[in-house]
Amino acid sequence: MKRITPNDKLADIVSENFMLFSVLNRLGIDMAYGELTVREACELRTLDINLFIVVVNTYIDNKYVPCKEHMNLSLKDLMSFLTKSHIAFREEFLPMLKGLFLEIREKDPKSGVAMVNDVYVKAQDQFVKHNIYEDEVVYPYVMKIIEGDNYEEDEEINNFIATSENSRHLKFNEEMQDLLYIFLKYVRPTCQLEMGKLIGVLTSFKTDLAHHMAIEDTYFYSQIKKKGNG
Amino acid sequence: MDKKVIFIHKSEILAEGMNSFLYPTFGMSLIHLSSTKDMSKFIDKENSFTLFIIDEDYSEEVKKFNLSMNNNVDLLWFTKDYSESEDTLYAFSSIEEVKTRVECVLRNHDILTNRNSLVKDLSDREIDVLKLVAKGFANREIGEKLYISIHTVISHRKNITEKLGIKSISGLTVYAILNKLVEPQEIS
Repeated sequence: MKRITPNDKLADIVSENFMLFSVLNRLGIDMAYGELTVREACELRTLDINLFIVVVNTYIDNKYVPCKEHMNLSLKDLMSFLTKSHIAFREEFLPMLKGLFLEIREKDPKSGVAMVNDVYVKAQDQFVKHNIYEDEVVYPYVMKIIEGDNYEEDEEINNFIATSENSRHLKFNEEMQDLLYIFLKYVRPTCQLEMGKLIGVLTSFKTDLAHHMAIEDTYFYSQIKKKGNG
Repeated sequence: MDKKVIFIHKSEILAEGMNSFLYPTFGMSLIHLSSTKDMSKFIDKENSFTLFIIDEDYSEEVKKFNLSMNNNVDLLWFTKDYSESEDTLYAFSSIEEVKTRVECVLRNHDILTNRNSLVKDLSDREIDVLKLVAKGFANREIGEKLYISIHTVISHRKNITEKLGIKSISGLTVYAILNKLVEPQEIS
């Protein structure tokens, strides 16, 4: 797969991988890209170019492994990206899913989708709670550890970090996957159009979340381990 | 595909006991061998699946057969001490537990040899477990309600997940609702 490099133009990379539109937004780069290259955009926004390269390539290629020179990332920019991704999950994906669930429930109250709504809402509430805890408590704590600032050991947060991907977003991602699978295999709604949209959003959300988890674990939480070994 | 169980153990009574429920449950005929001497005859048979249940005392002798390399063969060690390990069959297990362990092996084998079969029906017991999972009961509580051990509950849950391809409790709950195994208002 072709890798994205500092000399590629933003308009080209987004037109080839539309998923990157939202990713660029979270990196602080808005539309009207003009002829800007990745390097120029990063200079203009004072954004760490290594972070840009690592993030976009992880999103387009599951097997991406960065070269050594790109491994040295700005943790401040990374934390900002991760936080903005959480906001996108909460403020874009979840309301879209909620709207589609309601629309299907109204049009086809006897469909399976209407019946499973309550279960889904419960899983979503857990995810949001978890998400906010990470933004407000865990990320700032991790930054203090990595940057060597004064901090007070907190067993609850340490346990949260130690469980790693096993329990952070993975549970919700698994629930998304299951829901998708169940809809595809067992639900025959009368409103096919809305159902198609719901499956599309579920798929995009699930994929986005998986990439987010990969970046978070590989480049953010792993820094604590490195710090410990160093 | 022809399926059979080879039980290698000195005790004839144990072999009789195993045969009395394995055949009616799984339709698998049991052949009893009192030593490993003739076991090679049952390996490398085409279109045939063989499950070896072997007394753990023979573990050294069995190594030379390299059973793990053969897709048409599976192995359970018959042990005197309880072990969580999936490749063991505890000598003092209940019949229900033995059935579950054997079923699990067969299922794994089905998955290895027939990746296209996606949907498989759940057994009555698995449906009982699924209903209780959907209602929010923990493994221990499910075991108490169904009079089975927690290990059996875990085995059933593993089988359910493998059969349905659904991993999360929310997913299993949704599946149970859609298939009318539970009512939405029964979900805690």
